Amino acid sequence: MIELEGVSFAYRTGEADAVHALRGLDLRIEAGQFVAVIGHNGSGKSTLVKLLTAVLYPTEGVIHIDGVPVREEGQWEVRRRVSVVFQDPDDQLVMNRVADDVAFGPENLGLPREEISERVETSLEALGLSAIGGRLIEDLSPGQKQRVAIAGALAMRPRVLILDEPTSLLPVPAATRLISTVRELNRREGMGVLHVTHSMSEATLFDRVVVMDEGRIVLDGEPAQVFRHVEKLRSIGLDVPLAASLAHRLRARGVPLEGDVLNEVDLRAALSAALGSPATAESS
Amino acid sequence: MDQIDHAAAPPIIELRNFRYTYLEGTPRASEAIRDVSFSIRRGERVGIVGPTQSGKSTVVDSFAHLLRLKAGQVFHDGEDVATPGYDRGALRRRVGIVFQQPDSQLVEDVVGADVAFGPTAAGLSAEETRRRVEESLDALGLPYPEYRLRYIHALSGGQRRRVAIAGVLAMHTPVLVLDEPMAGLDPRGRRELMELLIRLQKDRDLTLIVCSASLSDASLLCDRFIVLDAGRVVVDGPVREVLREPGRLAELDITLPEPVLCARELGKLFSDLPTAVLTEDELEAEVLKRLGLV
Repeated sequence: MIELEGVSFAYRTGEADAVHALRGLDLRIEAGQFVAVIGHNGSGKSTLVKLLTAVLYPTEGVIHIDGVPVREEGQWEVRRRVSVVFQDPDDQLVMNRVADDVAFGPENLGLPREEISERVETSLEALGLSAIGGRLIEDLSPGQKQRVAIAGALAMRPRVLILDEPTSLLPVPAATRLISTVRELNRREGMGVLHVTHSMSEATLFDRVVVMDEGRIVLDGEPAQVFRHVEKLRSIGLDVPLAASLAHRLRARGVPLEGDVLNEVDLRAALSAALGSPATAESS
Repeated sequence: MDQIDHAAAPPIIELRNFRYTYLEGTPRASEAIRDVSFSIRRGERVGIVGPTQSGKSTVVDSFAHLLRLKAGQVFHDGEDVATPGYDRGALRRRVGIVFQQPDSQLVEDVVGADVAFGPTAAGLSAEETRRRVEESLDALGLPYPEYRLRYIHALSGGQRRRVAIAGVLAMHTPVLVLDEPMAGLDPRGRRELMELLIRLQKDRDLTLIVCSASLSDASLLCDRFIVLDAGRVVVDGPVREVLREPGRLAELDITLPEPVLCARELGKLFSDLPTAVLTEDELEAEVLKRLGLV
């Protein structure tokens, strides 16, 4: 339902210092897919997010979201289908209290009062915030604030939820909880999710990983396929999860590790299988 | 500078039974620090780590007396900074803080002018200021001729953070405090900043304090961890000792270093595998040893 065909974008087009942020991007994301986008700073990820939210428009090529072309005349049609959550929740939380902030978007759509309260209630519930709807946002932890921002995005009932590095300021346990909540929403509501991140281990939690470099897509596939390209990823300033890298090194030393290793649990299982039995001499 | 016997000199920073409540005496009072005591010696590399709202930022703010401090709690070079008449300006010329959001401390439009702001305000000559701006930008990998006239708003997040660090570095403070220095940087940016900070700390014999909810980068930058939770110190010790018992840390909402997480899991297979491993190389060597491959 997101379709990019030959999409390019340049800042300061036509000038000597033009910056080609995206170069002929072709990308198709099906309805309801759960996708992570990774790439170093300056790889074009943020430009992609701005194009998908009709903040910028392609210099070349076309983008369709749910069949609606992304261009200036139809920007509200696009924005009704796409919600975005930014890195710093303070950039998008506008009201003092939790429930009021979640209501802000639907209120601006001019929806009837009953529908607004229904949307606020279900969004708060989905993010586990029902009990704190009346709290002041300034009293919340960063993880809670990020949940309020997602609840606000959800109350717009988008077809696609775009998460632009929302976990980069959170400790890993809080980030992981946030991703699993979004995963549940994705399964239950069929809402597509596009998550931009710098964390390789976070990207392994998605169905599909799209890797960007220099405004192009350089790898695209399931996490296990993508993170097999250890050298390639390092050459473009990225990394692979430590367990995947260690598996790669151990295989190079002749340790017969079978299957895909994306996290430490996979690594333990593969090592255990290679050793022939779950218990080893050391642990007896 | 004179040779100082670091062990004999008073700690450069000391907190004694530090307690702090924001908006004390009002209905919105919130107790941030319940009881925190530690001392930091000159030249140490210390990570103050803990989950969000554990009190890290309050502790950092106390170092430069940015709070309404009471007497008898915060000491710099053995002196109580809350003593009436204590020279706070001088304190802030000795304790440099780089806040989490670089934009909160970048005050000018252009890189060179921003880095010059502190030295100029401190009354240094134009010549000395220019020298320090050049030296600081060069040290941060932002070559002076190339960057001095660049607009800050056109720089990337990682570059803006470097400008903020250069601004603090130009003050030649013996203490450098960084609040979440790696947040928002990509893997390459983290690696570069880390190498740079390690070199700066060595070259200038800085007292380096890194404040973070992630033990990951802090474990490579620091030799000692002070772990805070709910306004108290829960562990204080050398990095490897703290990581030897990761179970306690795993209960807190903090990021453990990836090698430690991996070693914990592999510990179910190799019961004698140490968890205090800082790098992938160390972990690989330990695993290979147990596989009989070295």
